Amino acid sequence: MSLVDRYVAEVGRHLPGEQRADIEAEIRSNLEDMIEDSGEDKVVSVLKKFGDPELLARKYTQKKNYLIGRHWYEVYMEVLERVLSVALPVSLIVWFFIKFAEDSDNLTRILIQSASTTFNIGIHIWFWITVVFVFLEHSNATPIELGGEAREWSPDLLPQLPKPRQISISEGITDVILTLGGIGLVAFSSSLLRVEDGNGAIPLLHPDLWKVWLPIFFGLAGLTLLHDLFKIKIGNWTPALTATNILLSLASIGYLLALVFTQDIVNPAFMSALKNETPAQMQQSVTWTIWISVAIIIGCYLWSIVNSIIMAKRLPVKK
Amino acid sequence: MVNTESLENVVLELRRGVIVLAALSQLGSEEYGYSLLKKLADLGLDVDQGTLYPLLRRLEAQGLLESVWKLEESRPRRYYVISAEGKKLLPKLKKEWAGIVSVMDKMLA
Repeated sequence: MSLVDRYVAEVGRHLPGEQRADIEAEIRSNLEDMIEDSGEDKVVSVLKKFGDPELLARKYTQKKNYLIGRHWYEVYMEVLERVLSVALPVSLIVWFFIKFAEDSDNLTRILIQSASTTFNIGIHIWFWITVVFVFLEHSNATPIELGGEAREWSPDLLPQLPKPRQISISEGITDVILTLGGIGLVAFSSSLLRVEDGNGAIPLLHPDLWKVWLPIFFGLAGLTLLHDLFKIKIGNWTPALTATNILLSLASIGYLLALVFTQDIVNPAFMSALKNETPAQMQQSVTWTIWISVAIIIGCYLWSIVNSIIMAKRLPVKK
Repeated sequence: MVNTESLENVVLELRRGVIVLAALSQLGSEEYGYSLLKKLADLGLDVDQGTLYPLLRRLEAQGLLESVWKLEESRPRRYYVISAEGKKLLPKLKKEWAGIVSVMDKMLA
């Protein structure tokens, strides 16, 4: 087989079936014309002038050699960002509680399992969104066609500048999710935070807490949720929002401190059940986990107070 | 120092638009790929094979050229010639080109 045959075949390999024979014949005829003109010994240099067969084939077909082009890329990235930024945290929290409810013994394992499940979900989401956009790109649709009317652009179409926000929507939504998570954790604590022993499930929280302390918790958490929603709506640390934030945070810190120092949080039956089931360090670690969680939560509240005061001082002056 | 790569890129961009006009203007009579390439080169415009041949097909697909296979000297060749639509377009393109040249001459003088 001559070099010319091999070159033509290589171009043809990258051409779609219906055009292949015709383009191959044309390239062959052009090649032979040029070889005839330059001399039979110049085949190599002629082929060099024709260049990479794959590139040449691409110029003939103008095939899309990319997955997602400029029309769709922006939309693709935006959708990906939005979906992942919601789905991943939600998945992490949900899986954490599901695994926790199944088996609350090994926190590290639960964390690793929920993180790896979330990672897998993220990969799936990424993959399927990409597949959808690759399909859109190669169906030759454009975002404008799908978006309905294709309007001619004019300066009137420019969107209004957003009001300056100190509290981003995502930050606000994260707060709402965390607050809801806290409420959910306590509300379903008798099934989420428990050990099984021979006689049935024993909840972690002391049953007496349900009389006064937990209702107070729900009251505070409800107010916090309301405050979180106002944060999203207002978007800036106005004096009123800052003041309620400080009040609520101080009240929550006070509540937590009073709770841990004056009340038995842990159900004695829970501890004795643990004693039967697991070694002594386990009980120790339950106590430690509670103390550390409380310390972290108080730290978050303190940070929230400081942050809201700093931000309130930087509040843009109204014109 | 002149960056030769960016110089080449700009020259390539400049030429790309010209090649269409050059090819259309020289296809008043039938030419096959290599004969057109030589014709353009003789007139002073060196065009890559890899650029010219696919371009001829694109112009045909746009309806500006017509083509036919002919067998001669025992070798089949694809001959291209300007179509009726291409003939209508060519004077407008020439006028456009003359406008660009006169503007750029003024600008670069």
